[in-house]
Amino acid sequence: MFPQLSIKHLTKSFGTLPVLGDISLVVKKQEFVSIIGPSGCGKSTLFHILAGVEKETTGEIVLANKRTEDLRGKFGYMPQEASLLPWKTVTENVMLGLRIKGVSKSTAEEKATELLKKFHLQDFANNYPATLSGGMQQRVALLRTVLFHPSFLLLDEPFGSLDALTRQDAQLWLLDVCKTFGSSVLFITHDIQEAILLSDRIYVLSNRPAEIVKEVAVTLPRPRKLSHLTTTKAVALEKQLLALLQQTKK
Amino acid sequence: MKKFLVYLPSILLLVILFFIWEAIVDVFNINSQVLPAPSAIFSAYIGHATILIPHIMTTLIETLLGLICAIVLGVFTAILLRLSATVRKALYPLLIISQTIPIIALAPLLLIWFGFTILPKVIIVTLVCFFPITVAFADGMEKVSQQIITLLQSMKASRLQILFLAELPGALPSFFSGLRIAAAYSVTGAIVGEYVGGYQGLGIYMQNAAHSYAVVLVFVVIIITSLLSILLFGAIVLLEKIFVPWRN
Repeated sequence: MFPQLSIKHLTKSFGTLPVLGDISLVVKKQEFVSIIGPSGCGKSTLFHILAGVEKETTGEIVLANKRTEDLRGKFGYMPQEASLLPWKTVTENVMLGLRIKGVSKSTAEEKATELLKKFHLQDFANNYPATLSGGMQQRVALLRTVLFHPSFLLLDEPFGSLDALTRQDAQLWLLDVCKTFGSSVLFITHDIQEAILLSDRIYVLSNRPAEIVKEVAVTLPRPRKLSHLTTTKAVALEKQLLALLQQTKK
Repeated sequence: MKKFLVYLPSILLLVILFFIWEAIVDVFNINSQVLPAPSAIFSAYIGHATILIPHIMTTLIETLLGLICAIVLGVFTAILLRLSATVRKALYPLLIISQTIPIIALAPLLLIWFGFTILPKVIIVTLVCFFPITVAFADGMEKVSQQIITLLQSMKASRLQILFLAELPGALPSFFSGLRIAAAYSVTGAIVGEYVGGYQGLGIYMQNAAHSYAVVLVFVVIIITSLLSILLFGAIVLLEKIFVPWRN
């Protein structure tokens, strides 16, 4: 079976500044793939290209075996910082993608309400984002992303700003959401443990201009538990990834 | 009630100042032709209320009409500036230059063109209020987070959808800041317009009072003017609460 997404020899330069060296990667159906790399290495640029708001310099992107030019609307993209619309309630935020697609207000509201209930956020349905904790805001943003495009998510460090405990809850919650919808996920992080806990495969990126240094498979069983992180397998993997990241800094 | 308590110190201070004023006039036996006591101003208002009310209404209507025109024009201009870089490049410098024209010099011209009707006054209020509203609204749209715009673009939102979903609501808090400034200018704008010529309004009344050395009535008008401004300000704060509920 062909992969859900395959990126072939993608490069990107801003003027004379090369940001993405030569990126080739694949994400299979329902696979969770993480990208880790030093900050400022161009990970977010890669996502901007996939989300269709930036154009690649060379290379091609193949989605479900079709070469795709206009990528807008083809992924559920979640930007790095909390991007909930402050002037919309939780429900209105979650239904945003459907409204843009032209789904009627009542249908969109129904679906958003149902989704919030399913993932235990119904108590906040009429709140404005500013009244929610950071962890809750990210969950709402995730549900918005899922409702817009459940089959493929691009998540750019969604838990980067959360404290360790909130982050662990949110990570397991995310796995639950992805499992429910059978989503393929491409996930940016610079937290090695996070990458191990969530992913099926991990790509390690170099410093700018970003290139893929290594591809690592995570063979921990699913469903994932926090205790998996302390197994010898996971610890060895963590050491390996840490060493790789140290190298990229040179 | 809590909100009211916030203003309590300044209300107290104002009351104390009025008492001091009253006492000074009383102790030094100052001629009411020069400086009338607050109590005299108050009783003068009661005595002239029936005559004053039509003047107040005229000024209020001019102010509100001018303010509404300024809002419509200002919002429209700000959106144009946002949507088209060409318009922005062409119009923005001119807008700033237009602010160097003294309104007080324009007032007689407007009177010549439009006569003694309320139109010249409405135009002056509009001119005075237009700039702060436009700049604040344009600024507010500029300040909407790039992440949100990027997100909407990735969802394949059209330019108009981005405008209505993000830029217009996102600009509302700034818009209301601009509107508060504009409101503070607006009543004064209407009075300046009336000063130049007209049949009715607080500006005319004040001028007549000054010409007949009825200093106490000048004070009555000054206080009414400032009360009108406060009222307008309060109304805008209330509107802001209704239209910007996510800020509370």
